[in-house]
Amino acid sequence: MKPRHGVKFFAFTFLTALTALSSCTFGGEIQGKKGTLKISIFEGGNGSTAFHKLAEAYKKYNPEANIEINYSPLVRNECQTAVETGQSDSDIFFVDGCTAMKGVETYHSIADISELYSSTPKAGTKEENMTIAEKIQPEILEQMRYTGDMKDYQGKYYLAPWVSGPCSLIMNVDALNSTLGEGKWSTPRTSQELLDMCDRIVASESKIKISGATYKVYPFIYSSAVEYWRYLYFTWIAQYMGIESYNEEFLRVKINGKYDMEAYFSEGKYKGYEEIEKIIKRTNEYCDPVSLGNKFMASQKYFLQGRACFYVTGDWFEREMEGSSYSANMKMVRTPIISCFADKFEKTFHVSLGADAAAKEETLRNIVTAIDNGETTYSGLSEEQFNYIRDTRGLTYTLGNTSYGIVPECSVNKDMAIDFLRFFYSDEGIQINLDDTKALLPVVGASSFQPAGELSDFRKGVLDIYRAPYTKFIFGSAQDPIRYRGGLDCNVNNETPEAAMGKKSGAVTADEYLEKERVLLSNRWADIMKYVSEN
Amino acid sequence: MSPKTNFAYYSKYSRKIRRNVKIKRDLFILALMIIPVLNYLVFFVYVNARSIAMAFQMTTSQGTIWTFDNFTRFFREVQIPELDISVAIKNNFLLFIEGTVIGTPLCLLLSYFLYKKIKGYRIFRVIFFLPSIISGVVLVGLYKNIFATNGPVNEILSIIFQRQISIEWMVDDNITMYCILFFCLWSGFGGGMILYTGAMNRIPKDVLEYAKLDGCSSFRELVQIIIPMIWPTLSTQLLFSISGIFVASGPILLFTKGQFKTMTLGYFILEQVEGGSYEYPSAIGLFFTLVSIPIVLITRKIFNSTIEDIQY
Repeated sequence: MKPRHGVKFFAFTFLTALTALSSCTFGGEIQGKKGTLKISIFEGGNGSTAFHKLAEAYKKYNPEANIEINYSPLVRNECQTAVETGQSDSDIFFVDGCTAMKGVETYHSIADISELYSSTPKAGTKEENMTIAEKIQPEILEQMRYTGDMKDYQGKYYLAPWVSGPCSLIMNVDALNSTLGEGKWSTPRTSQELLDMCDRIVASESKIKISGATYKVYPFIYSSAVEYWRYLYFTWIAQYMGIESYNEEFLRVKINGKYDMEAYFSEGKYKGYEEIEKIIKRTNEYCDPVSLGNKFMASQKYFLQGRACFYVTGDWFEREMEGSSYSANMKMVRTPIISCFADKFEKTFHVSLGADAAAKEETLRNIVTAIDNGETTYSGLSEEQFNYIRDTRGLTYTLGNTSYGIVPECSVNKDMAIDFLRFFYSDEGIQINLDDTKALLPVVGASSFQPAGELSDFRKGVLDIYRAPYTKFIFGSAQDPIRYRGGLDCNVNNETPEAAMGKKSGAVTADEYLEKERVLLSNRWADIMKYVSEN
Repeated sequence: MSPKTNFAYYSKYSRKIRRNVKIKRDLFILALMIIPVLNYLVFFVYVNARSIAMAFQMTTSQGTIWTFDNFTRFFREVQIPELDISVAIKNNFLLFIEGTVIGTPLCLLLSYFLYKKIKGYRIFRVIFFLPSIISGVVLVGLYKNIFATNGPVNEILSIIFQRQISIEWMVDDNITMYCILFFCLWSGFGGGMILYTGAMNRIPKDVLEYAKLDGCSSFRELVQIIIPMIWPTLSTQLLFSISGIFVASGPILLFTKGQFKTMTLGYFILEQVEGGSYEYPSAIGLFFTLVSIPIVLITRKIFNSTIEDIQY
C-alpha cells in the first residue's frame, strides 16, 4: 500500500470506528420488553422463591401480565451498573445496598415512584383503605424519600421498602445449656449481664468434640468479612444517645440542623465503642481467636456446631443456614441495654436507681425484665420515666433503609412496576412474602400477620421483637449527602472498629480508635464540606 | 478481434479485477482493524480522556464543578498515616521491591538452573509453573487455608517447637502484608521462568562451550554471558515492573480487602470506584501517571545505554 493510500485508509478506518462508537453511545440502549415486567432480586439470606410465588399470585389477578423473575447474588452489581449507566432491562430491582441517592441526583437513573405511596395496596379488584404511605412503618417510610439537599427531588419517593427484620444478638441455647447448665442462665437484659455471662462461659472451660477434634467453647464467634457487630454497638450508641440524637448527630453529623464534626464524636459513641471493646479484645478471651480470619459462613457453621454461645446477625440467619448440615436450638433476643444507660437516666431525670453501680445495674435489669414481660409500670418510676426506658429498650437495628426496591428511569413498564408494587404491599402480598421468607415487610400492624406452619424458637423470637408495640427501628447509615456524596467514612486504615480492637497485634482501645478517627476526620472535614450544602 | 483490441480489452479487464481485489483486500483489512480500533477508542482514548476530565471535577449540591480540590485532598491525605492512601503507597513500594529486586533475580537464577538441566529439573519446572496455570481464586483460597490460624503451617510449627503455635498469618498488622508478598513471589515465578528459559535456550551453544573451555565458572557464565545475551528480554520485564510500580494492586481483594495494613494503590482506587466515587481516584491515577512517565523513560534510556544489544 502506498503511503498516501495508507493515510487515507487509516483515516477511513478511524472514522468508521468513530461512527460505530457513536452509534454504540447514542443508540442500542439496553431496555426491557414492553409488556414483560422483569424483576431482579438480590439472592441472599431470604432465599430465591418468594418472588416466583408473588408473580404467580399477581398473574391470577392479571392473566395478561408477563413477569420474568431474576434471582441472583450478582443483582446488586447489576443494579449499581443500571444506576450509573441509566440502562437496564429490569423494571424493578430489589437489593440491599446501592448508591440510590447518587442515582437520583447525579445519574437521574431512578424513577420517581411517589404515585405508589399515594395509591392503595391492591390485590386484583380488592383495594385496601389506607394508602401505601400510611401502611409502611413511619421510620422506614422516611428513609424511602429523597433526603438530600437538591430542591428538585425533595419530597419525592424513589425507593420501595423490602424485607427488613431485626438484627440483634442470637443465643445458641444448646451451647449455653451445656456450658452453664440448663436453668442456670437467663437471657441477658443489660450489657453488663452479657459480659458476666461471658465471664462464666470462659470460666467453665467447656469443650466440645466435633468430628473427633476437641474445641474450646467461647462466648462469641464472628467474622471480620462482615460488619455484623454494628448491630450491637450501634444499638448501644442509640440507646445512650436517644433516637433523635442518634439520627441527627450520629448518622447525619448535625447539631442544631448544621453539619458539625463534634456530632461525630458524641458521648454515646464513646460508650458504645467501650462496650464492644470489652467483648472484642483478645485478653478477655470472649471471642474465638479464629474469628478474625473466618469467612462468615464458616463462623455461622461453628456457631451452630456449638463452638460459641452467641452470634450477632440479622433475622435471615435461620433461612441462610437451612442448607447447613448443622442445626441448633437458637433464639434471637433484643440487644441488651447498655449498662451505663443507668447513669444517663439518672442525670436526665435527677433520680437514683441505686446507691452503687451494682445496685443501679440490678434495678435497670429488673426494669428491663418487667418491660420484656409486658408490664406497663414499675414501682418507683413515673409513667414518663418508665416509657423512656421502654422506648430505649425498643430500639432495634435493621437494614431497612438499605434494603429496598428501585424502578429504573429507563424502565418501559413503569406502570406495571407500580401496579406490581401495589400488590406487593397488599395483605396478600405481605402474607405470601412472610410464608416464604419468614420475614415481614415493614408495615404497621405487623402483628396481624402469622406465617404458615410451625415456627421455630428463633423465628418466634424475631416476630416477638417485630411485633412489640414499642419496637422502633434504627439504621446504620443515613441517606444524607454527607455520607453518599461527601463519602464520610472514618474507618481508620480501612479497618472497622471491631477489627482494629480485635486484632492480636496492633490492637487499639476504643479511646485510641476514636482519637485516630478524630485526627482523620479533622483532616478531611473541609473536603467533605465541599460536597454538601451548609445545612 | 485484432491483437490491439484484444490487448486493450484484457488490459481493461485486468484493471477491473485488480480493483476488485484491492477493494476486497481493503475491506478485509478494515474488518480486521475495526475491532481493535474501536477497542482502542473506547477503552483507551475515551476512558482516559474521561478520567483526566474527572480528575478536575467535583460533584457538589450545585452540580459538577471544575476544581483542583481532588489533588489538594490527595496531597493532604498522603501525609496522614491513619489513612489508607499512605499505607497503600508504602505497600506498592514493597510489592515493587518484591517483584523486581527480589523476584526477578530469584526467577533468573531458577531459570538458569532449569536451563542447565539440574537433577529433577522437569519436576521443578512443573512445581514452579503450576501456580501460573491454577486460577488465582483457587490459589489464594489454598494459601489462606495453609496459613490459617488452625492451618497446616501452624500445626507443623507446633510439632517442631513442641508447643501450641497459633500465629495469625492472615489477620495481623505485622505479618499479613509479608505473607501476601511471599504469595506474590511464589505465584509470580511461572511467567518470568518461561520467558527467561526461552531466551536462554536461544543462546548459541558454541558461546557457552567456548566459555567452558576457557574455564568459566557457572556464576561468571550467568553474569557475564547469559545475562548480557538475554538483556532485551530481561530489560523489558524490568521495565514492565517499573511502569507498574504505582498501579500494582496485588491479590488484596481476595486476601484481606485492604485490612490489616495491606492496602495497595490499585485496590484503593478499586474500592473508591466501587463506592461510587470516581473523581478522587481519577486524580490519584493522573498524578501517578505523571510521576511514572519520566521514571519509565529514564529507566528505559539507562537500560538501553548500559548493555549493548547483542545480535545472534
